[in-house]
Amino acid sequence: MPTAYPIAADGTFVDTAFLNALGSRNLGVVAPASGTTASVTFTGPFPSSYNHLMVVWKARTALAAATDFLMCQVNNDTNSVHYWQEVHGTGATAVSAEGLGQNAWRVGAITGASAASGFDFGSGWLLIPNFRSTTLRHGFVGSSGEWSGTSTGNGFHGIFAGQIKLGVAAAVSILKFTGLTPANFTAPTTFTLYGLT
Amino acid sequence: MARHKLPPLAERPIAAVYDCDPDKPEEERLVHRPFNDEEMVDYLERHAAAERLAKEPVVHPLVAQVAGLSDEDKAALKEALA
Repeated sequence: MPTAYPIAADGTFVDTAFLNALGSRNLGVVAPASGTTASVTFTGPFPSSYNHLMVVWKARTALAAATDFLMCQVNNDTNSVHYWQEVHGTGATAVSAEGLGQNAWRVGAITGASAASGFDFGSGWLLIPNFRSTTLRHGFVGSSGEWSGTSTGNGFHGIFAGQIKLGVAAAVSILKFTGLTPANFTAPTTFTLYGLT
Repeated sequence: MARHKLPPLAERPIAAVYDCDPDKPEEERLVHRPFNDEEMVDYLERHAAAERLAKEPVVHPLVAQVAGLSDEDKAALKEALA
């Protein structure tokens, strides 16, 4: 006989133990309506039953440009503690870039209002391993891609990594996302936070 | 750091803040609020930086690479391309 899993009338699972046994859980989804929000923040403390955090996102802003970068600030720390590294390809060109002592990590590429089509969005994910440790300064790895048009060089695929390099070691409890040049997110921009065991 | 005149709360961008506390009812988790002063300063500074960047001349990566070569390497490259 197949196992009966507890499901609520709206289709969501109701058994926390079952969810934990799955190894991952959706901790929150934020999908701003167009023209309403310029930053998306997840606040914790995040459930201690999970060891890692993953954010899966698709985003576009109203910035008057074809592309921009997605930034992530940890624990509302506005000091120069975020260090990041990226390698990306666009067309036949590979580019490497770094950010030293900034107030946020560069975690991906997004499209802006000048992208060729209103359907063009950047998408990506980032993973923060062992986020609960209070003896580490935390880091992330991630990947992102976007196409802002149909011509050569309009595509972007990058891999990103970063770490908090200064300040007191602390568990990750706040993640804030904005464009590099903050502008209102365009619907259906969506950020989904997962806890992983 | 340049001082910025901060707009009133009603004119500031909005932050969407989602509280992941599992004990909080779902309908109370997502809050929308105006940017606070710190966020507003960061917002204005990033836009100022973007404007400065937009005024800088754009250099193709290959042009930048060639510009960084030594005179000997430039001569060798020129000869190879001839």
